[in-house]
Amino acid sequence: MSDHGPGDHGPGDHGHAPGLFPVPGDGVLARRGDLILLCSLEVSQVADDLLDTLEQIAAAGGDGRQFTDAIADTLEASDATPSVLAFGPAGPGLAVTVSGGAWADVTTANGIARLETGHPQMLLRGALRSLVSGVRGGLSPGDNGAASTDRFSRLDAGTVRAGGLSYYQAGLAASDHGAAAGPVRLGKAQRAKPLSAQTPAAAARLARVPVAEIRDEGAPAAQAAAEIPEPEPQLPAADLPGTDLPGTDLPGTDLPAAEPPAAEVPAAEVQAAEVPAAEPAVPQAPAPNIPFEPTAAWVSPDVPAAASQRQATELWSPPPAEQSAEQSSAAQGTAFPPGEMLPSGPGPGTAEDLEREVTAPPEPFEPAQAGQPFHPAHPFEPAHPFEPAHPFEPAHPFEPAHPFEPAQPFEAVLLLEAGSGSGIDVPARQPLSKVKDLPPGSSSYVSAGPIIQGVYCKNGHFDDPEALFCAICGISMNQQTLVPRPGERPPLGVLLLDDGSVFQLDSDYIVGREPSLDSAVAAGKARPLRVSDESGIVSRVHARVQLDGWRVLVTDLGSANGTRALLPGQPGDQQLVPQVPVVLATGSQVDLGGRGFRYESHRGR
Amino acid sequence: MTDQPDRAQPETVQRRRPAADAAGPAAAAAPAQGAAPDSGDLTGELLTSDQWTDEMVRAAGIPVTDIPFVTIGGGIGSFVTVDYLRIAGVSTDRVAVLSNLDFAWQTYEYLTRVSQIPRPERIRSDSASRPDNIWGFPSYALAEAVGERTFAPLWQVLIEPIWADYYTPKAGRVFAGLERESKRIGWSEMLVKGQVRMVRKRQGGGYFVILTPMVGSTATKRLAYRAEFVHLAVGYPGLRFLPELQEFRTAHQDFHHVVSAYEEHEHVYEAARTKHLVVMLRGGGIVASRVLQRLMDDRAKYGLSTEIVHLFRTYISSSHGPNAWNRRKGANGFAYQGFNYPKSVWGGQLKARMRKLEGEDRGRAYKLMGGTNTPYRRRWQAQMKEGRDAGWYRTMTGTVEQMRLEHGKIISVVKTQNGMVEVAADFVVDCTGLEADIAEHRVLADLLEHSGAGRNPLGRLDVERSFELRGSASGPGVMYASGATTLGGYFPGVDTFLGLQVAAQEIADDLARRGFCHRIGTFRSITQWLRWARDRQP
Repeated sequence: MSDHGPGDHGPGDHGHAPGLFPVPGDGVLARRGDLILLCSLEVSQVADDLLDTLEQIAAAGGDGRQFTDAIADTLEASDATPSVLAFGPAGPGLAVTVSGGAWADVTTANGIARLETGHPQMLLRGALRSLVSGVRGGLSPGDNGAASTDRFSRLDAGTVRAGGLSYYQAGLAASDHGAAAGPVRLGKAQRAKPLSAQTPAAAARLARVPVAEIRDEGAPAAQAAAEIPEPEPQLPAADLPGTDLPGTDLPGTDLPAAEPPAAEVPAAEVQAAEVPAAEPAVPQAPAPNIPFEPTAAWVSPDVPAAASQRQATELWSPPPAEQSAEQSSAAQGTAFPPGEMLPSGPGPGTAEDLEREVTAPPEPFEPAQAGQPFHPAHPFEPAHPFEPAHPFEPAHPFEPAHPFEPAQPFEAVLLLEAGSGSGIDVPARQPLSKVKDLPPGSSSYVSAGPIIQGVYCKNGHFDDPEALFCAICGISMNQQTLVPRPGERPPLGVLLLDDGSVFQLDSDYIVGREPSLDSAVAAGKARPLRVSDESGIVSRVHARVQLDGWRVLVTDLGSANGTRALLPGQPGDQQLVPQVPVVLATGSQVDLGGRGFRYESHRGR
Repeated sequence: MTDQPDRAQPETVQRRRPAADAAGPAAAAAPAQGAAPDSGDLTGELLTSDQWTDEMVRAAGIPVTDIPFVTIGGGIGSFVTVDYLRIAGVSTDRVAVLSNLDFAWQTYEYLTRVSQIPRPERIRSDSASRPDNIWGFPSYALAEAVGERTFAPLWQVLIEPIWADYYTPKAGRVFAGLERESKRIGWSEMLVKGQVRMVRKRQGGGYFVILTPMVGSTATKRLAYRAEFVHLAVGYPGLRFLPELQEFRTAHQDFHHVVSAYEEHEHVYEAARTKHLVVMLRGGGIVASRVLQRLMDDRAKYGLSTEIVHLFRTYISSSHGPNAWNRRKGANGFAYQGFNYPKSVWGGQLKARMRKLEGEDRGRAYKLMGGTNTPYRRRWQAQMKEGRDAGWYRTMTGTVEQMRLEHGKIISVVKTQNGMVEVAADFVVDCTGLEADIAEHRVLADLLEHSGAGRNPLGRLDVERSFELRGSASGPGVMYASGATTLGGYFPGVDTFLGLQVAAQEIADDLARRGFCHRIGTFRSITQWLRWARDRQP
């Protein structure tokens, strides 16, 4: 998996022409001056409101901070939660608001920081205080890396349709990508782990933090080493939090507060810490213990209040200049504060990256110091603690798909190997995913599903609106008023080939003897599902299985001998009209002539 | 995410007034209160008050409909109760069924179908337990004998269970009967679709039931039903998938290697038809035996080579029970019993004894008669024996510690008496029937919190012998509950067809005493049966 397709330009690429470049899509991208808004259009009223907000702030000459705050306020006032990415310059840095399924990769001198809420109802506001050279963003995690921008379609002002964007600051191409020179060598695994609330609980922590001062720089982990004697003089001691916090007994307590969090933190927020002024020796290290009091509105009510207080400023870290090689090495032994915006390597993974990762697997994730609470970003504890000795299983062909890479069309994902002697021809190929690219302890699955409208069960699992029971926990779906909301689409079911092989429906498929010939495969929009057929009845590009919302469609692609579909409950099968999609119900049988497949799904009707 | 979703109604949702015939009795009344559009949501005052006044509801702008009897749930529990009331002379305009189901047996049919009891197969229920016929006559066996022109079912009923297995009806016949009765009693006229949000006591007697109607069907977001009598038959709050399964699914986004038997999993059987598979089963109840039989049937029918590994948490190797008169058969891992409960709970000595037990004694008695079990069916036994002899059916005892996916196989790490064992299978079918706690159900949780309802020794809703929900009376108003949510009461078999009928009868009798309906005496019973037989409205 790579965040950036080979044909794509990361935001920090050297020498990229400055400007704002839309990525084609369904949303809307607007720019007024340096204020930039990307918004989905599921709820057009809100989109209009946001565009109005942009106009007003721009007309009033507001900066990025005012703009992103106003956007956040508009979103809060609305019942809907569209995917929105808004940013604009704030001081030397950048203010950002992200909501819904939107994400942003912000490139600074120290690498790329991923901002996303991870939960469709959450909102993240932040400000990066150092120079930002570029921003890439999109409206759904699924389009991560899938689209490239066209350097000839620059948007200097106005409004266009777009689903994503790339933005490059003039004259500020990232000075150094080499996180190799940075303090901590993190695999992409960690980098891929966004500053995100991937769970309601974690989201609540991040959501509605009044202003999350994000100092993007390199390595919070380096801070955790607490060897960075760099007090920030402007910080009033009274503002220091921490005495009644779990971090108090951190070993680094007697160190000078190297990087005390946030003079900017509003006093009201800090009061919660009730820090006596006489106790300046705050373990500043990962600074996550500032108990912010998020306002309740956007915090999931399921989240215990305690969980929702905290850590706005997890993202502090020393300026790059201070990061010495020693710090770097020291930091290697340090673990990450949770939910952190992790320092990153250079944009796209390089061969060097990989090698380093292989030879030096990341350190175990442990609380940086005793007494420091560890809040994994995932609510589900990993089944196995991360073990460096056997960190990763070998990648298997059945690994679910990863974000598509346009220039590297991927093969169908075989979930269950065909019986011996079966006719299926699944060519040998590279595994789809590099498991070691994932955060330790997390699943082998990297979210790749597009954001669609669905419903949430009372336990917060995203489900088919028609489902009677939640597909994850089994609770009846009528325990909660079902309101359509966006979420990441889970696999819709499986295709069972007549030879016993099983393919998970988390992507479109082109079925045929040589499906790679189809343009959708070349464009990375569908996987090839190759079936061998010596009789030649099956065409080289025969049919397309397409996911549309929660539906599964099959379309005959003008095959020579046609496609027939037998839908359950119908007396006979029907001949498909070429290029006319037919909705498949669970249990449908599709006949390609010599070969065939069934569509089955756990989502019963 | 409990109440908040309600505020996040998308702005784009079109709200229109209901068609006159769409929302049943509510339709006419709903707009009559003149609620302003887009108002009519629950206010903070309503949410926090145990008792509501008419004024509070009016101030919130929620339109109120007066219906004397409201049943919540709309499944078979509601159906059987309403069936009784209709036969007891209650007209359709005095009853509202608040439900998210299109028809009463929707959930039941879904669950039986996916757990391998499709319409042609037989459910585990007695011949005379007919939810569509309060008299139980003609029984399913008789109806089947007449319908299919064969004496076999009658002969089976005569010689069961000694020389034949218990007769049980085919699922399809049960559903067809329910459909007919549903039309006869005018179910659709009483049905109002939507999600019931809560029930609160009304100051001055009776209750308010708050319904969130289907999106776009009404002018306001909520409807209130002011009812003197409320009946709760919400059934199971849901399934509860095993924690390992949940974890596996969330972690891998893989919904088909490890499946629950209570969801669609046809791909397992389909895959088995195309290649050699190893399937691991977990659980020892009726569903496990159905899934097992499906695998074995397919194996025989299509000449497959499927291997089955069956994991029991508790392996029953022989008959068990405290004494010779109180014993259940068991072998090969399973505990055998014809029906969910010993037959005597429905009308015999066990029913009489349970009616007198209180508190812990009752809890103990339930424990004694409870436990996972499955009916002994001869053909299935023969198949299992064949599998054991040939080695393609193996059993083991233990608990799963961990599951992982390796080369397309699910590796289950099983903790057994002899240590950890790894079992590789192509699919794992979880047949354990875990049920969620009643507090998982939003309406029940609200009741427990605000309406004085309590829990019985088994942790479910505490009901009187008349199935009145203890502690929830409101003036002359009464709240009843029946079905699975009341398990643990004075009558044990509440979550069975016959149990629902027993409850419905008690409720109808109680309502007759309160003057809401007629008593079903001999004359009414006979005339009503004749109407039933001729398919005439009650």
